Amino acid sequence: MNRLRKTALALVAVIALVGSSFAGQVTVGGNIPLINSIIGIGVLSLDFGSSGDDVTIATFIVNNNSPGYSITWQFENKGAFSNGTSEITIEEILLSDGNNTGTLGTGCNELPADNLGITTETDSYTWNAAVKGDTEQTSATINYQIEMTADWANSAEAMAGLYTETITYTITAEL
Amino acid sequence: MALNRIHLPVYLCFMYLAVSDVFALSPPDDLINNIQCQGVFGLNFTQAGSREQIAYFVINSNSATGFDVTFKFANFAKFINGNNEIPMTALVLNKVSGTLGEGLTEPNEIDVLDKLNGGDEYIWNPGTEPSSETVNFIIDLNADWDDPLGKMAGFYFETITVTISVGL
Repeated sequence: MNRLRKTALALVAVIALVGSSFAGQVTVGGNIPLINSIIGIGVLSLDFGSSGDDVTIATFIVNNNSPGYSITWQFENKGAFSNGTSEITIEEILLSDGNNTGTLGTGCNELPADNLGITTETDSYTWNAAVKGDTEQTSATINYQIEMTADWANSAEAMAGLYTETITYTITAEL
Repeated sequence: MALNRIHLPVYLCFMYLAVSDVFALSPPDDLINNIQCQGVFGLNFTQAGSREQIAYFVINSNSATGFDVTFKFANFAKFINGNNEIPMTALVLNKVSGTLGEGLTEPNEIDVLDKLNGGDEYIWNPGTEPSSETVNFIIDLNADWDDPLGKMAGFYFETITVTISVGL
């Protein structure tokens, strides 16, 4: 009986030692919120007394920290400065990084070098700055400045008045 | 007399059992040696972190030989989100509250990042000869990180596995 008792106690001791290790796991962390913004500033003092050649008509400042994002510009007058029924057609619209201000995210596509091709049939252009799973952005775009320039012909014979084009811009993030 | 002779073996047998019980092992106290942990999920990664509590641990132990606590960092002391990461620039272990067994040494500004030295594991050994129990002794890990300005959006995390073992 005593031997049984000793065996049992030894067994308890062994179990106690075997079970003497205790583990747990924690996950610690936090969130970096999505930044996805674009600010646009239009020029209201364009000189239509002479032809325009790569004249800045608007400037945009972009901030984004998602893997993918795109920007769409939609031209209300389909690429024309209008005043009632009078129009001054925009012959070419280009995008550039202007004064090279700010930082374009690593991995992003370059701005298009060609005319955006805004016509009476195509009133918008989308720049896929970064595409998740493809040309993915791996560091944030910070205060990246995009300059929009335009060409137009001499409009000295056009009717007097304020000629305007309205550009609606949208930035879309892809997480 | 004859009766005594008959009962003598029985008497001796009882004596043996009584004496042998004195030398038998008495049941030990139940071993208590456990650790509970809690991580912080709401770290503010919109700015640099300075001595931010990232996790705390509650220890109870009555091991006669003390205890060891092993911290294993799945991401080598970095908060990660896919391929993006926010490295900890400092990581220290401190006492918060509770009672550490007498004879053991409390953690005080232990530079865990330095101890890791690029590895993923650090073992805190407060000592091996406690003379009293450790009761609800709370320690915490505090971390620094640089301003994550320009980091990609998303949830950044580190996973810490903690193991307590009896001291050897």
